[in-house]
Amino acid sequence: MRARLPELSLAVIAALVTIVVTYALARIAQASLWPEPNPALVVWSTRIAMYWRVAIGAYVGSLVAPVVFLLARRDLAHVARGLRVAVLVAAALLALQTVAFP
Amino acid sequence: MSPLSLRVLERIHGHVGWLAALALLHPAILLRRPRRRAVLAASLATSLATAAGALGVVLYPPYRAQLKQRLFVTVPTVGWLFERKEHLAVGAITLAWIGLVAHLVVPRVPSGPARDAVAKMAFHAYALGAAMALVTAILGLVVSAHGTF
Repeated sequence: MRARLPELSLAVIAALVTIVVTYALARIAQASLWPEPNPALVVWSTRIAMYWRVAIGAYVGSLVAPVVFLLARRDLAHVARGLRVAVLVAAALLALQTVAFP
Repeated sequence: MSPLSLRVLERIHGHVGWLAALALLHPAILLRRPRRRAVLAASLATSLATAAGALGVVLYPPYRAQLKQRLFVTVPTVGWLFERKEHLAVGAITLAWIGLVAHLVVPRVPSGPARDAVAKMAFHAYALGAAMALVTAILGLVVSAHGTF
C-alpha cells in the first residue's frame, strides 16, 4: 500500500477536485434551471442546498477516484500534470460561479 | 442553541476564519519553491481552515432560521454576499486539503516531471485557497456588520 501512496494521493486529489467542480456545476444548474424562491419571501427551505451540493460532489468524487488511481498506475506523470491543470480549472469555475450564480 | 452561545460561536467562527485566511498565506508563500518542505505550516493552516468551516456548518442552520430572511429583506445585496461567501469557503477548504495531500506526498513521488507537477499543484492549491479564504473573510466581515445573532 505504501508503494502505491503517490497513486492513492492523486486519486484523493482527483476526488477533492471533483467536489469543487460538481459543487460549481450543481449551483449553476440549480440557479439556471430550478431557481429557488426569493429568500426575502420564504422563511427557510426544508433542505440545505449547500450541504447537498457538497454531498453530491463527494459521491461523484468517490466514483472518479478509482478511475484516476488506475490511470495513475499506468502513467503517474501524465495524471499529475493533468490534475495540476484541473485544480486551476476547478478554482476558476468556482470563482466564476460565485460571481455569476451566487 | 441559546442566543448567547450563538453569538459566542459566531465570533469564534469569524476570528478562526481570519486566522485561517492568514495562515493559508504561509504555505502559499513557502511553497513557491517546489523543493521547500512546510509540513507543519501546511497542516496547521489546513486544520484552521477546516475548523472555521466546521463552525460555519454548525452556525448555518440557525443562520437560515433567524437571520437569512431578515438580511434579504433589509439588505438583499448583503444576503447575496453571504451566499457568495459560503461558495468560496467550500472552495478554500477543499483547495487547502488538495494542497496538503499534494505537499505530503511530494517526497514519495519519483523525481522527475511527476514530482514537479505535484509540488506545483500544492503551491497552486494553497495560493488559490488562500485567495478564496481572504475574500471569504472580508465578505464575512461585511455581512456581520449588517446582521448578527
